[in-house]
Amino acid sequence: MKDHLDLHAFADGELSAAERAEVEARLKTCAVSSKTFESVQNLKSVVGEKVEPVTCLKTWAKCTERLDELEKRRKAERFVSKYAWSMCASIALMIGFVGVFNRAAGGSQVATGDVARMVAGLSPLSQRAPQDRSVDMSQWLRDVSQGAPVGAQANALQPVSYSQGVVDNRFVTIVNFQDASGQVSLVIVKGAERVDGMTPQVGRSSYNAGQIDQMNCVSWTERGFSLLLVGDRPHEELGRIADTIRGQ
Amino acid sequence: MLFGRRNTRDAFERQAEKVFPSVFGTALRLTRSREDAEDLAQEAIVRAYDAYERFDGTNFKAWILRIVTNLYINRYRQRQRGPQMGSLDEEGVLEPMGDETDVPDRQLFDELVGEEIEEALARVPDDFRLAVVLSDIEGMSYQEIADITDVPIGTVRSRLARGRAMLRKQLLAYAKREGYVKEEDIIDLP
Repeated sequence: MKDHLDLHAFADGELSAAERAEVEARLKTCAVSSKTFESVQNLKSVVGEKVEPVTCLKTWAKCTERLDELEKRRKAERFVSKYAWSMCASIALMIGFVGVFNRAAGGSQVATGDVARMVAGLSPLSQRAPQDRSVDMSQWLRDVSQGAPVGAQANALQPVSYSQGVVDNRFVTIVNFQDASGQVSLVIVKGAERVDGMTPQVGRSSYNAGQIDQMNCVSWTERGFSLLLVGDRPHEELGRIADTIRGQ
Repeated sequence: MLFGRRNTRDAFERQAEKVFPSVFGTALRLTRSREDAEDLAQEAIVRAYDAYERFDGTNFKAWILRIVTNLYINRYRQRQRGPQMGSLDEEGVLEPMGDETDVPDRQLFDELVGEEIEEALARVPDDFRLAVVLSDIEGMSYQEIADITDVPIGTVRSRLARGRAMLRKQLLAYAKREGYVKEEDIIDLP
């Protein structure tokens, strides 16, 4: 009998009645088989009796925690799969509503970040400003900006170039001025009554101060226009130039 | 619906808790590391719960031990150290057990304690050890072991006989080292 497998099966109670009878008969006559069978039985009982049960209460507790987590995840997945369309529709509606609200509430204001974009967007359309000193610069400035409130003393500054166009549905004019200290830019945005991202300028309550593209800037709003003066100069000096432009 | 899920969870936990010592014990004897066994047993419980709806309702213990075994083979076996299949051919001829000494096994192993048997068992290669654990510790039938390990019954019988022979040799060597067996009693100790 190859490897005495039948003796193991006999010890394990895995033989049919006929096979059992055959093995029992052989055990009576074969000493080797008899000793092997005894050895199998003893080993089984030694292992069965002496191996101690494992302690696993803590591990079971961890298992139930894992099951709780799985349940929570399933619950969330069920919720999402059940209400996915309605959630998508709600989010789309919310985005639409917020967009409409922003349009309504924020239409009359412009952010400093937008101004930088406006300046960059208009630059390629730059045109030369009139160089003739006899031209009334204040009038010219009002003309190119579609009526921005700029004053008579603007003649003290020399415009070099200007650009104009429509950005974000707003008419924008940029005029670059030159004086002994260099260039400053006046950005005129029609229809914007507030500039976000600026703080009131110290000592000059009629202006707000801030920075655009790492350059100092002062802004003011008047008669439906937002005006920003941007240049690489201190806010105080920009404020004085702004006074000149406003005719104050 | 909610109550249905609650009932499913309760039914699963009732069955799983009852067989969990077998799940953890088998995991421990397969991995030979408490940390890995905890990980394996937890993962098996989670997988079983996940697949509980597909359980045919006949033999929960065999079903969950099959999950443990498959997980072990797929995840842990590659990085386990120690004896694997070894050089033993499953179809090779095995010497009959009980030839080494004239002293009955009962007397030979009487002094051994559970921990020493576990150590000897840990030295038996995976497939043979699993067959011995499932049969002699967990009390599974040949058919159940065949289902759990996904091999024919003939292979189960063969692995079991070889596993026991290897375990006995380990125990005999251990008994000799510890002085439980006198040298003169041993005829041919491997």
